Amino acid sequence: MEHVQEDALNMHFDGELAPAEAASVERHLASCGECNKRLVSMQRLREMITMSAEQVASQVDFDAMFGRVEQGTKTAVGPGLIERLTLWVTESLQHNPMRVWAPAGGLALAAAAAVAFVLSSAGSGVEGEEEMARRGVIAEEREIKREKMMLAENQPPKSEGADSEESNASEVVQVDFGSNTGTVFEIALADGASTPVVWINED
Amino acid sequence: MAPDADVELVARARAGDRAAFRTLFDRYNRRAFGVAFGVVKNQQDAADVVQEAFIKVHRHLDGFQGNSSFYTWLYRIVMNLSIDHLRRKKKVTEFDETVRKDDALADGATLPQSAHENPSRTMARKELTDQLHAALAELPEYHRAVIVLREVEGLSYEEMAKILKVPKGTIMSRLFHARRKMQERLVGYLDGDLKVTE
Repeated sequence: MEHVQEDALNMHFDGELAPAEAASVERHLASCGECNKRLVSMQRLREMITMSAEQVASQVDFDAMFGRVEQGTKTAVGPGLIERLTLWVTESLQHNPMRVWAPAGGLALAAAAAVAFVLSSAGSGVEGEEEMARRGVIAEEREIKREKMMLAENQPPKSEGADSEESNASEVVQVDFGSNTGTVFEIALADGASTPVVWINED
Repeated sequence: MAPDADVELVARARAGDRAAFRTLFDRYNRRAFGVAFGVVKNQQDAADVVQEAFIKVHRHLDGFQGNSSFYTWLYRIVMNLSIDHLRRKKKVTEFDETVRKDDALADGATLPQSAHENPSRTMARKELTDQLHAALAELPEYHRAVIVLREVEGLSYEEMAKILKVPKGTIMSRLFHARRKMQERLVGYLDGDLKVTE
């Protein structure tokens, strides 16, 4: 005798078989002890799980739980944008997809426009790059000037003449280095050469 | 008088009717608890999950459009929270299944017993409950979710597919596998060879 397949027996047990198939299984069960035993085993398992769940639930104080739920609803903040959007999209996709796709199309266009703007900014990123380069140059210049200042500090103590040399300084220029301000001027050295001196305000 | 339909209660609760929300809570709290307990396997954890689920339901009443049934919506929230809870717990603690099983038993999670049941029967019942929880604990969470929704809630394959967001075929496969594993694990208790006697 060919026994009922496992899938068919499960579906029959769950009431998910079509009437004709269910009738066929019933006919087999009427004369097959082995398949009946399998069915009884399923029934006992269901009873065990159900009784266990009911027993545990009977020990819970649901009145007290409702009090905590109410308290929670008073203190809970409203759902965030993401939560609300997720709920809306989930329900709408199941029941009225056009409600999602139409605004989604609009959003896609807006996103494309935003990307185009960013790319054009990046292309005109020339401006950004120039700005970065400018900052880099300033930083480099600042470093060079600092080195020069250090060199100047390492120079032997100035003589009187040196003082007078300083007095020969060229015009003084106030410079904005970005995050600092400073002064650039040029001094004439004894050998007729000149060197720029940069003073950066540390504030 | 016929009981109020869920959709009507939801509308009233949304408008601030506390009694309507309470009716929804009373109608589904035990079933929601049964589902949560089947997954998290601990009474206190299951109670926390159900409590959090109803708070979420209340918060989202405005967004609930009533296209799916209220209990499908509720069970989906309960199931997601239960699975989240399990994962969070696994990450935070090193509780092994034995400890959790002990927790459940300490909570008195045994099969029903009469007030004057004799000690040997109580012991046998406890052993049976113990075995049931151990068998459930050995199932992967996605198998446990399906068997609980089916055996405790009596949901159809279609309803479970909606709640768990998987194809109906997947539900069937998981359910049949879960049953087979449980039957193999509990063979002595299910085939009548090992009866609980007075």
